[in-house]
Amino acid sequence: MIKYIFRRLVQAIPTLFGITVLSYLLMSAAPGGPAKALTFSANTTPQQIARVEAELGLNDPLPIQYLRWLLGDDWMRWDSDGDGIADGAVIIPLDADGDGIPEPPGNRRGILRGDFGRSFFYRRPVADMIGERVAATLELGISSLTFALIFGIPIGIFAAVRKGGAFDNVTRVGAVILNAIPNFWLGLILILIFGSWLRVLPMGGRAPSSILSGYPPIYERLEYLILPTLVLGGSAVAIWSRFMRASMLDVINQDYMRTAKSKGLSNQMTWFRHGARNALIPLATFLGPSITGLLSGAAITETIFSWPGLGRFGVQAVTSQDYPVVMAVVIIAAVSTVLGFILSDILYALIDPRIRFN
Amino acid sequence: MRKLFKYLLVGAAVSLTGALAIVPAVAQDGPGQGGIIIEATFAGDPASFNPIIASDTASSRIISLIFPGFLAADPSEGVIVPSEPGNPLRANALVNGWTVSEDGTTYTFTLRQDLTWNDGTPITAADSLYTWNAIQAGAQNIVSTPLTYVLDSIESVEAVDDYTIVVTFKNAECTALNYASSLVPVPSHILPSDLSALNDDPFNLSPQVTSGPFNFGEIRPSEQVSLIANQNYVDAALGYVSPEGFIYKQVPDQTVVIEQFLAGETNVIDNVPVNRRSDIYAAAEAGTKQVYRFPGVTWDYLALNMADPNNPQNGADANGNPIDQGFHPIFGDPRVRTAISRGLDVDAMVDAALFGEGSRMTSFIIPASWAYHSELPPIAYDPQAASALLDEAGWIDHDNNPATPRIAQGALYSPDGTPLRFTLFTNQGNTRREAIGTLVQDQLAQIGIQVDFQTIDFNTLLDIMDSQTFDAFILGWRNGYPDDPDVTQLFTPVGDVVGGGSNDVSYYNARFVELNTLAKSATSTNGCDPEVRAGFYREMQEIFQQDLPYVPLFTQDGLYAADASLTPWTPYGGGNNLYWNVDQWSFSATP
Amino acid sequence: MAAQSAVTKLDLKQKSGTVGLSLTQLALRRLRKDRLTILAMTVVIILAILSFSAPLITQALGVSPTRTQTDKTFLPPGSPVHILGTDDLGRDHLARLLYAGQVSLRIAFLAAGLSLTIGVALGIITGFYGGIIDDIINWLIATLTSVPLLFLLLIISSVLRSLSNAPPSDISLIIALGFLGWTGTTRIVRGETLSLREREYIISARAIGATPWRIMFTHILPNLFSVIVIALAIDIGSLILTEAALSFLGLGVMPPIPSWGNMLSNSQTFFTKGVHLVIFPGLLIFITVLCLYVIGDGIRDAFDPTSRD
Repeated sequence: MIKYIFRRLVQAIPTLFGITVLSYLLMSAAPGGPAKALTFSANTTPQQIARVEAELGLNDPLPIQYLRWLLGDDWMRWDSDGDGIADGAVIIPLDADGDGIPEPPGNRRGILRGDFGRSFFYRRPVADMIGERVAATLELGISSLTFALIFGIPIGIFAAVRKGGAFDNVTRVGAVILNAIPNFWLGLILILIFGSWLRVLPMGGRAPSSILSGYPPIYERLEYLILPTLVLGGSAVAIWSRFMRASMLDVINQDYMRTAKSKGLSNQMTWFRHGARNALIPLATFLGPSITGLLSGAAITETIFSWPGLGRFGVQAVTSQDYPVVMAVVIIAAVSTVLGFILSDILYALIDPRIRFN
Repeated sequence: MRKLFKYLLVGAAVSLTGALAIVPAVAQDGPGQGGIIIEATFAGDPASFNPIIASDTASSRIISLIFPGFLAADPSEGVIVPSEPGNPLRANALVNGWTVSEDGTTYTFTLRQDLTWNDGTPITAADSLYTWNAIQAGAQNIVSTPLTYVLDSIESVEAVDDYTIVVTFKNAECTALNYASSLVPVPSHILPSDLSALNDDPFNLSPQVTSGPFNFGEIRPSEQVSLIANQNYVDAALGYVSPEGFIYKQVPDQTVVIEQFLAGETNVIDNVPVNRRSDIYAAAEAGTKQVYRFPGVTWDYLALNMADPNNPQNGADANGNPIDQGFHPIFGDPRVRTAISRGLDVDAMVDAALFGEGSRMTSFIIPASWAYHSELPPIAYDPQAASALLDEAGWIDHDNNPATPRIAQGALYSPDGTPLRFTLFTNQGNTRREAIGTLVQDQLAQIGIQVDFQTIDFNTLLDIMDSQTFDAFILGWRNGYPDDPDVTQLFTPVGDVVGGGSNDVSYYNARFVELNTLAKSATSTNGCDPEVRAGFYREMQEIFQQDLPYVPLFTQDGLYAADASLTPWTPYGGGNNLYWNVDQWSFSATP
Repeated sequence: MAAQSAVTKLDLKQKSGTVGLSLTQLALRRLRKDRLTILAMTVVIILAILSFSAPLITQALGVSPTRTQTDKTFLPPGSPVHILGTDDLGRDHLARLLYAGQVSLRIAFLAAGLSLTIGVALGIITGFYGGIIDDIINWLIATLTSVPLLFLLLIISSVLRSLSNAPPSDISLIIALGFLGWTGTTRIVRGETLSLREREYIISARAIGATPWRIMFTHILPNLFSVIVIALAIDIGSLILTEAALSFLGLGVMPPIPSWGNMLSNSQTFFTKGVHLVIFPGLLIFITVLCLYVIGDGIRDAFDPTSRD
């Protein structure tokens, strides 16, 4: 088992490597360059830009820049006598901007050692800023997933059991309709109806505005979760219920179900004791992809509902071209998706005795 | 089986847990009894609460409520003044008087001795000197500060004693006090003496030592910043700070900002978007909200490149002599620029893009400024005259069809047969400018000018502007507060630098440059007498309207809105003047 | 977004079996009887025809999508000349919707076409050759699918539009969407190809010395017909939604080029002044996407050998 997990993790390495290369290439393809953004003001001189470029290593060849971002540069240029001036260097030059004075030693540790760099705009370590927002995204993600499972699975089972019946048809139509409405539009309409018009739910945010310090516990702000969960979880309900229905139909047509029926078990008993349990197994494989779906959806849902999470943070970073933040959000999303897939596989193997770890 | 789609989904039953009660602000008189002010904003997260480092809108709002200024700005007059204890219009600033040397370059500022940080430490000259040192370190990129521009003007800053600061300027210019305003005091006794540590100091995000009507509460990233009343605020007009606290709440969607305000979830909005103002006015009519409308400090313009975009040159060489920059194939001819200005119905733009919430610009100075030339009429909309001018300039309309452009036939800088067509840029994501661009495109089509209008990424637009390779763009300026009309960077060769500078259109008029120098010099203006200065600026505005490097469009009126129960709510226009008397604010129990 | 099309795609994976030509004929016969799918097809075709004959229609009505009338803003639907009213700048709303339909539909069709071409080509090649090519493509798919599609789109479109000689935003969008959306198709096509490869007729084609390209084109590709058509319908639908979502985030088609997505998201702020400006683009997006999903569903059912009729 542990060997299996380990192997899966090792297998994920090329994928993650690909993601870092892909996102780094995309980011560095953008013109203008971060130095210009960093020094932007009415009175910036070309010398200032050159200094920042040297400091960030932007005048190095792309592979070296990538290496620096991945592994850091504290080992590329160092200061052995502690006087604050670099006196040794490998790969990168000691004096990058060519003014005769060595640049300061490198201080970046690279994302492999948890250093996501600094936000261009906020000038703070990206890791800190991500840390401040991850809980909000998890909260919304988990509540949406729970909502999707609680409604999606029973709907799928009932729809399959009474295939072609009224319930099946209504839910199928509902699923298609739900999927054909733009998410942000649905969110806005819900805000207008429940927040502005009926005034029964808050119009976004994660907690009441307050000057008291400390964050209110989740049970005191459940009403803030309702609308975003409906929007983010709504399309997920549609997906899960369709998936569950298909899976259940497969099981119903299996031989052992007929055997169970012929043994004289009642219909209900057969369906729920034998059918539903087995139909749930393939759902495990769906966990990984659903994490990506939730994260994608979060970008829009969090924006419309003022939810202080990673999705909205990432979108803001893209529009303001805050590349270190964008990269961090992409990497985190990718890692969680890859882990989600691995978790799916493990779950699948655990609950389905036909699969052995080998 | 396909009949299933005939079924319709009946709305899913959603059980709602308890109605959301909006607590009515039951407020009384007394320290911290006035209720909590909640302002919604769609600006992003504040980047830093350190006045030396901060540069974004969100940060500036918070900083103005928890830090004193170096100089005071009287919101009722819009001028820089010494701080006067007991006068709420001149409260919470360090300097209480100054003298100017004979040659106008040296200012000696005396400081108030009654101001303290909220930990009891007196605020002294050392606190402003720290800022000065940080600015100098900023020029070496040790501290990331937007304030380094003052080094163009300020030569040195010295503390004579704890309560006297001498600032020496490079030239005797009337902008001296504006530059000196940047010397904001910071609590130097708790900040790192090694300036290289300032960028990452925990103070930047959690400034516990401050001095103002509020103390810092906490920041919930992407959510809100909260401030708590500072009952030791020396300049409190009532002797105490009335509101209990202040919350700056982030709401990224404009529609939601308005709906939350109308529903009472928030109670103050600074700049109401023009497309929802009618709803706010309706609420004010109904007596649930109050509004304050004022002449805007932002203005939009259509910039026309006057120099050859295929061979961008600086405005002046190293000795300050003008460089020949060639002519733009279309806009190089002043008659074409005039024709464009007359072919644009700016009043219609104000109606459509601003819903009437704006005033026309006649030149480069906003109507709210003391230097505004009130007798100069705006450029009249006259498409016939515009067409005649284009004919005269050698751009001939063969078919009178708005869909096809005029063709050059004896034009000054374009070979015959060239169609009258140019590219117009504006930044994406700004619906107002998108609307203006669309109107410009359509209105100019009517006089035979074909405009290829594109909205592009702001950073890309900046690049194109700096490279001076563009034809035309629509953008705006936001004037500082209190504003000085100096335009050295904007419209003289000093700012005409390829790859930098702000005179991207390469405007050069010798008389205009001369007047600009006269208007900002202390010696030629009788010690910066506003009357004398305004005289120079009046002539400059006339020249500008003749030359038209920009077609001036309009300023957008500002609008503050607040809950009707908020008193005394007597804001002023301009920059940060919504909150000048916030220490007295209180929500009365029944409006 | 990725999730939105998953409903139907999953079913597709479950059901679509291998089909021969006779099955296609059978399917077409079934499809003809399926009134709902026919209706959906008719609606989409009508919308497409209307959109692409926008110049004729607007000329006939005497309106223009770009002519601004600042004295006639926010006219309600049913006004003289302006059948669906006017927008915030007094432009004819119907004319703009038609031209926007051109843009939205073109983006969706071309991007879907692009991603299908890539997807089918890569799917056949990997399925047919296997080995190292298969490994590389699988690695690429795993990489692309583990980043939320929306973020990749955001990055690519922001990079594309920050190029100083950037193509117009609608073309950038087609490129970005087309080059990112192929992974699902590749997976399905690869699976189909793998099973087809072992069929007797292909083995015999090989035995008589047919080149791999010939086998791929004449023996495998025609068998993928139903898979491709279903994927096309569903992809187009979800791409229309994606365009709208990108517009909401400020990274879709840039004004002054109209699209249903940017018309919907820009008019939100005007909803108290002209609610028709929000309703019509929203409705058009909804109806088009719904119809495309129904078409996808209908075609799948028609090709499903197990469906009883």
